[in-house]
Amino acid sequence: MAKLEVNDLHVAIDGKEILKGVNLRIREGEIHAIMGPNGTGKSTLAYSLMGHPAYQITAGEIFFDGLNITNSSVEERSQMGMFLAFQYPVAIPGVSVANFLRMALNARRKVKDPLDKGISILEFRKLLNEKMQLLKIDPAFAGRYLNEGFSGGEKKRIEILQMAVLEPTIAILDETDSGLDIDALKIVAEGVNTLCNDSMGVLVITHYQRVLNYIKPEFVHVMIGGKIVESGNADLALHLEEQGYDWVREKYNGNSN
Amino acid sequence: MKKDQVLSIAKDLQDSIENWFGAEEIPVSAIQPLDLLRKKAWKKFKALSWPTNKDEEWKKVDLKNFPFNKMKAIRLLNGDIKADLLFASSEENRVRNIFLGCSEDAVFKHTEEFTLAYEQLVDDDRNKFGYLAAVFGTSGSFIYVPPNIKTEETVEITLSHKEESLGLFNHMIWLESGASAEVVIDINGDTSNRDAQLSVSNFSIHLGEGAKLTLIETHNESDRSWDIYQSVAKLDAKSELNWTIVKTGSHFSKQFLQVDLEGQDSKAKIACIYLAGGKQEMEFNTRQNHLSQGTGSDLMYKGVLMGDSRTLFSGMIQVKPNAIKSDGYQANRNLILSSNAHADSQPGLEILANDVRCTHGATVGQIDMDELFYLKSRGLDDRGARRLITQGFLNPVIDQVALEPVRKKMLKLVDSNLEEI
Repeated sequence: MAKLEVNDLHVAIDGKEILKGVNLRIREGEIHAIMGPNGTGKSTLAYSLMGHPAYQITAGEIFFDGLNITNSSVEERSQMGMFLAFQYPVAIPGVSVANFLRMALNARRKVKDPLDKGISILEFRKLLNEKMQLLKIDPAFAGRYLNEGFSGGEKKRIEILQMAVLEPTIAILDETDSGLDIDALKIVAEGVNTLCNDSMGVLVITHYQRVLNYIKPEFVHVMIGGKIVESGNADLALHLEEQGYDWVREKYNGNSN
Repeated sequence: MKKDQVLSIAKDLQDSIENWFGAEEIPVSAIQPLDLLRKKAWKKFKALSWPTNKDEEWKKVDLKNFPFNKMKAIRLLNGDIKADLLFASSEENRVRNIFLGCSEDAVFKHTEEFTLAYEQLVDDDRNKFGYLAAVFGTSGSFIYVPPNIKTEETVEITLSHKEESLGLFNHMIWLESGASAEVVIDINGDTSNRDAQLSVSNFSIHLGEGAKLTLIETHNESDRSWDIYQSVAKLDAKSELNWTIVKTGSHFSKQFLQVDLEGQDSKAKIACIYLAGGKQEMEFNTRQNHLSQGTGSDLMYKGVLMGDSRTLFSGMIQVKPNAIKSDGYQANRNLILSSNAHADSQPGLEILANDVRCTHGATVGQIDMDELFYLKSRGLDDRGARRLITQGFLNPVIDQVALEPVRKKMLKLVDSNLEEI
């Protein structure tokens, strides 16, 4: 059984349909990539999967572990094991990275066991240090206010740090590569690869092939006009890099005409 | 009831207050200069009238229900006010002639210094309530630090407002030139008292040349009490005041805070956070008076409003003509967590000098939906996410407090007042 199953998903924002029937199946341990030009609905898919209230699901269903989560709240989805690395991470003034992550971790533990007293500060510090080391993040970031005054690259690294601490089973990386220089990209990719084991499935959303040199997908999907129009293996990404999207557009438009 | 009727009732009541006590009730000590100062305060008291809703500063106060009648108690409490004052002070401080104590002791042991400080308290701009406390209040605290002496440890004062009906307090902090001190004042009320209480507290602060004072106040009065605070700080040249206030509690509270930057290059930094919930009303009237060249003030008031609460911030930066090269900042930020809560913000500037830098700003806002979604996407539930954003809104003020135990206490106080979220 797939960990995440998306069936014929239609999504609208302010009454305008953006996703027009998306189908997707991701198993644990699999890395999928969704590629496509700007404005084709990739980020809409990411937000919709995570349950953003502004994105209205007009048809279709989302299953997680066989459970229908189409109408579940964002926090329920997170607690079940879904994670979204934001394209534009939000700054939370006055809340330190460490304090926030400890609260997020404790919220999960509490759902699993209502009597859980939460992770001890000492134990948490050890865990956070370990993950920061893995992602080569300066330990000083633990005490800084979340994303406030962070550079684009720093924000993206902190997203992956959150993923590393929360250990989701499905992670959606929305344009995590944008704003990263090549060294930062390598570090982030290494982190993702280390974390992506048999128990985590990953959906990488990008419009550049570059990141896929470091995070190797087994499945590549092309999204155009709110639909996945082409699926294949890693070679598809290379093909897109060489040929661009025009041939897919032509093929898709040809088919649909 | 029509507004005119309310005003007239208030007027009748206020007229009768004047008959509840007279000059014969003024406390008499064995110290003549002090008795003269109380008489001086009495004259000032008599010259002022009680506030009505026609007065700008009292416009929105529920004077109809204001417990004016509690002042009848003045006849009874002459010299016998019940307020617990606890001081944490070391032998070391005593040896070095740093005086910390309640005013009853100070009057006799440090008459000269006490009288000097009391003179400033009476000479400060105070309103009718302030003078009432200056005349009749015999309780309070007095901290005196001699020239060039630095207190080795934080001075902690715990003040419990336990009075049955009326409390009148006078607190004075006097730092001679070159002295420095850290003072923490914790004011709490008797939450088991179900009767309305009225308290009026004067704070008078003097910083001599080059003196440095870190002052931290935490308030958690009973939710049935009406509390009026009037604080005036006077700063001599090159002195520095760093003042942090956390305000919770009280049914109604009104804080008048005034900083007079009298000496050249004196600096004051004031940060206040307030948390109002239920039917609480809080009002803050602040004044940053730049009276000399090169003076600096930085004032930040941050409020969180819940339930049906109401708050008012009314601030003023005044720069006198000779106060060139002054730098003044004033900001009021409010986070509204309930559709029934109301925050009023009236920042003000009055600049009479050239070559100054003054900025002010006010915001009243709600929780940002993008921040909320982001936190929830990490598994925090709605309440937890709202609480965290609210704590984050207040944290930058708390994080600036260098004393770890005080900071922890503040966080706890804030946390316990966010239960309504």
